[in-house]
Amino acid sequence: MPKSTSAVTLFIPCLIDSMYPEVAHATVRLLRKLGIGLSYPAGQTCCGQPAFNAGYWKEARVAAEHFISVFADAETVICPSGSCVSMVRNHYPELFKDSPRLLKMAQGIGSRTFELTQFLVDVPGVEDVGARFTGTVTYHDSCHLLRGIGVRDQPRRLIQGVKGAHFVEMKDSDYCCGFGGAFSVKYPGISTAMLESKINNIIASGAHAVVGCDMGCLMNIEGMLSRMGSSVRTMHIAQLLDGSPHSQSGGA
Amino acid sequence: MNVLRAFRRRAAIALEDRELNDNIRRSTGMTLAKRRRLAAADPDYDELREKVAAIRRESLERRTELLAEATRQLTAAGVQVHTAATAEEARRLVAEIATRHEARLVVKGKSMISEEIELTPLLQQRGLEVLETDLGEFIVQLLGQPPSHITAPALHLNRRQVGRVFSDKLGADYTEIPEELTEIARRYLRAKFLEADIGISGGNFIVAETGTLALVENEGNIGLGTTLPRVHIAITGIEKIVPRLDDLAPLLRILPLNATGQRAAGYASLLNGPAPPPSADDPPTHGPQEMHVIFLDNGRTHLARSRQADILRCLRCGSCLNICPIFRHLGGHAYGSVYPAAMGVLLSPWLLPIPHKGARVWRGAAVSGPGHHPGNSLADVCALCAACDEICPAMIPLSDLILSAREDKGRTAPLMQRAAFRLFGGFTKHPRLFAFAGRCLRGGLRHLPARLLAALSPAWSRGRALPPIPDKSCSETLKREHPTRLR
Repeated sequence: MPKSTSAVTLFIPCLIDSMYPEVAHATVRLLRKLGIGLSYPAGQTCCGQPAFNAGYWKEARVAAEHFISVFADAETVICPSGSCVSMVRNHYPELFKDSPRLLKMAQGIGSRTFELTQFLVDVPGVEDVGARFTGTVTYHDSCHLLRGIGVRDQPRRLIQGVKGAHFVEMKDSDYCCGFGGAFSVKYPGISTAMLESKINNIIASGAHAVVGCDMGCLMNIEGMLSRMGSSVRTMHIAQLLDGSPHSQSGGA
Repeated sequence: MNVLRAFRRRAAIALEDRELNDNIRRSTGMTLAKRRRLAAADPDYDELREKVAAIRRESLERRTELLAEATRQLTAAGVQVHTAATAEEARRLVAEIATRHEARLVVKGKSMISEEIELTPLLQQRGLEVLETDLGEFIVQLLGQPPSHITAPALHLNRRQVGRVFSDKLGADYTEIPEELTEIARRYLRAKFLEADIGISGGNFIVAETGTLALVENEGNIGLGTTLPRVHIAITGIEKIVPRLDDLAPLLRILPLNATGQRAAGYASLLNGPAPPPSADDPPTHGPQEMHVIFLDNGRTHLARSRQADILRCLRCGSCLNICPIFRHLGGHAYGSVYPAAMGVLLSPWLLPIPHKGARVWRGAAVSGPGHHPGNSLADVCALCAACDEICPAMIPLSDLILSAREDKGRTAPLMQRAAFRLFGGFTKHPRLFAFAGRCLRGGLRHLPARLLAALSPAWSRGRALPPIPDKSCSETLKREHPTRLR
């Protein structure tokens, strides 16, 4: 395990900030344990994805410009969400294609912004973070992490590095859980049907915990598992790697 | 007509239909598995896909020139070429040809464009018998339904349902053995091919440099329907023209692989004009005496100038339907268009409405052409999972196009929604306001009665519990513990 990496700048997605603060704290503890210095710019808000995905690009541009100004000087930005990183990397350039100055800044920040597991495995090359877990773990590929920024192996390697965790693949792990942000609110019936398929695959895997890298998906998955009274736990990967997981369904 | 409301109604019905769900998932799952095996076994697949994407990009960029060249070559080969600006014009052209030949029976090969222009009802009104000869199309025609998938029209039905259709509508003895069902259709259809006056087909591709019409199929029905009747009419979109004959090799390889998971289609016909008039010197040739090609625009030129232009590169393989988790739960009928899922959501709002259906024509043409209303788009019916981007053989950035269609649509959204997002945008640049909004959200979720929250979004709450609501966001603690070097 490398002792120290140059300081990284943390971007906490608004969903985690507002609804799952324990995931942010787990991320911080994990980075600290790995000797990675970090800073947290107080002015951060949201990457703008909710507006962008809903078709409100002008409003998304406001958020994106703010993001760019907050993180302009950051050498490396780390974010415990594939979806937000995909927004910054893939969609900011589209938002600023008519403004050469901002486009250049957006592309610069995009290339320096990493999802948590992508950073750990690709940059300092960590695969064993020294975490422990007792039980069987399966992994849900979130769409934007997998297809947006091409992260498939990194979280799996990290999970396999957790002592005591037995990793199993579920069927169709890369199949959308039905969340899709506003999609699940606009079309809850279709979303629920998609979620049912996901839940069936999670349960069939026999895992004690389903781990993911995006709280949007996990909130959705947890919502149904908890409604069903299932004992399968949902965990953000930062919580698994932190090694002292707080059960979300237990109210942290 | 409210496209969204109609969609919601049909989707709710489809979700309740367990048999439908099972049929669609089994059928799309089988095709996807076959496709995946073939693509994985082909070391050149990525290269092939790049090549196909390049051909289709060129088709789109040079569309005007290619249409002129194809028209010249086809005409030189003795084909009568027509262009139709609208669905109505295309239907009239077909009807006129039928009248001129005093046709009574028309046999059709599977053609989505004929579904797009709703050709069959018009010909039937004029007293013609119109028969679908593709097995899947034949089944849905017997049921009076539109196809539910662009390459597998009857994928929403299982063999028991097909057996019942054949016994109810054709008086056949009930069977659910696929070979026997196919035999029933074959016996019924074979006689009709011999009697038919006109054969109608679509066109998978048209080669500009040679004026060749390429048709791909698995049942031989298109081969029969385009050679036995004395007149053949091919209807095709203006976007289906490719520059060179050599382009067909990669296209005819990638299309069946993605459509049905086959290494090659059962049959590929390359048609180069009507049969030459009989002469004493040459042996007699088979083929129609008269061949027509109708190039249909129907909103495509406007689409080509829009931000969703790239959807015109589509090969109509149907793989974005098979992979779409929404399509796999609903099937095609819920979309209310013959083009469902990603490709359909992008294409459908641009196609001109058919006047007899009483569709409203929107005339505020800033972001669109006549007939196109971005508000009529089902671009919201997408979870942005991007599985379609990954599978599309023409490498169309489907989810990005859907996002751009949402932006076009946003301009027509209700005032309240626009105001809410305006507020959101404003909050994002004021961290304190943003944090305050977060506190309000948590407060609301914690203190409002659970029944009220459930009532606000009943269908969400039926399946899912709300997460436990934390007291505090993490930003306050983090700010204190990790003072930033940055702004």
